[in-house]
Amino acid sequence: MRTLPSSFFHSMFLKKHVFFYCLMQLMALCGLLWLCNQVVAFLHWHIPGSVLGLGILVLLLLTHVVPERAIQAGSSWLLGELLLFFIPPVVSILKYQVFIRDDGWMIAGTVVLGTLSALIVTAWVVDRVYTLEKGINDRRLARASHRENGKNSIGAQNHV
Amino acid sequence: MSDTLLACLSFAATIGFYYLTKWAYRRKKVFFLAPILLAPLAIIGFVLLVGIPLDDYFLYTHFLVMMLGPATIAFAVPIYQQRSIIKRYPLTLLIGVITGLMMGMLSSWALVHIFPMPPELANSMLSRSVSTPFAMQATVSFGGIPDLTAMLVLMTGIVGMVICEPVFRYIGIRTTLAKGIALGAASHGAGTAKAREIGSEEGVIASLTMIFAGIAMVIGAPLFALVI
Repeated sequence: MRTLPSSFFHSMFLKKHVFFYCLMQLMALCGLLWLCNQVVAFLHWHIPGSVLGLGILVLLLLTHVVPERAIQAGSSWLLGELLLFFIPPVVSILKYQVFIRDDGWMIAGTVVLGTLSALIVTAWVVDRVYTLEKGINDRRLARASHRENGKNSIGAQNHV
Repeated sequence: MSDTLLACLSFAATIGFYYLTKWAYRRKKVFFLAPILLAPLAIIGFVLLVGIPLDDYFLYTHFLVMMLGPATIAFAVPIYQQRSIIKRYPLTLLIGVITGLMMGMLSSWALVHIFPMPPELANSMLSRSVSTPFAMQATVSFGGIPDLTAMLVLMTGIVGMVICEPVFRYIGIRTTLAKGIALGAASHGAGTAKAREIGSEEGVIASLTMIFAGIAMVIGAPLFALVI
C-alpha cells in the first residue's frame, strides 16, 4: 500500500506552537460562551448566549480591548473546520429515515426550488441596489475631489 | 464490541473521514470529492456498514457538535477584519441580507404548502438558508428538529454551490457584490466557499452576508414564528 504523503498530516495537525495558541484561544472562547449563557439564562433573554458572545467580541475587538491576534488563530481554526462540527447531526438522519423514504422527493424539490428562487431574487435586488449605492459613493467622491481641487486652485492663485 | 469501543471508533472515523475528504479535495478539485458532500456520505456509510448503534455514535461525537457554540462567537473576527467593506456598502449589504433572509424563509414556507410534508419536517425547513450554528438555534423557535435542519442546511449548501454559476450567467449577474451577497444569503457556508473560488472579494462579501443573515435569523426567529 502506498503510504499517505505528508501533506495529509499537515492538513490534520498544526505546527506545535500554533496548536498551543489555538488551544488557549479556544478555551477563552468557550469561557466567553459559558459566561454569556449564564447572563442570558439569568436575564431570560430570547437570544442564545453564542450570539450575545459574538456581539461582545466584536465590541471588544473594535475598542481594542482584545487585540485581533489574541483570538485570530483559534477563531480561524474553528471557522475552517465548521463542517466537522455538524457532521454528527447530519448522521442522525438515520433516526429520521422515514422522512427520507416518504418525503424524499418533496424535500429535494423544496430545497432546490427554494434555493434557486432565493439566489435569483437576492442577486437581482442586490445588483440594482449596488448600482444605486455606487452612484452615491461616486458622487460623494467626485464632490470631495472637486472641493479639494477648488481649494488648491485658490491656493495657487494666491501664490501667483 | 463494547459501547465505549464503538463510540471511540465512531469519533475516530468521523475525524478521519473528514480530514481524508478534505485532503482529497485539495489535491483534486472535483465536485464529488467536496468534503461537504463526501464526508457525511462516507461517515453515514461507515456507521451503517459497521452497524454502530446511533446512541454509541453520539456518545463522543456530540462533543464536536458542542464546538458550534464557540464557532458562532468566532464569527466576530471576520466581521472585525472586514469592517471597511461594511462601511463602504452598508445599504447594499443591509438590503441584501434582508432580501436573502426573507426569500430563504418565504420560499420554504410557500413550497412546503405546495409539496405537503409532516409539520415537524416543514418547520425544520424554515431556517435552512443560514449557516448551521445559527440555523440549529433558530429552528427551535419554529418548532423544527435541529438534526433535520442540519441536514437540510447541508443540502441547501450543496444545491447553491452547484446551481450558482449557471444561474448568474442566465440572469446576467456580473457585479462582485451581487454574486457574493446572493451566495452568502442563499447558501451560507458552501456558498461562501464557492464565492471564494469565484474571487476573493466575492468570498469576503459572502461570508459577511452569511454571518449577518445568521444573526438576524436567530434574533428574529421568535418574531417570525409568531407571524408564520
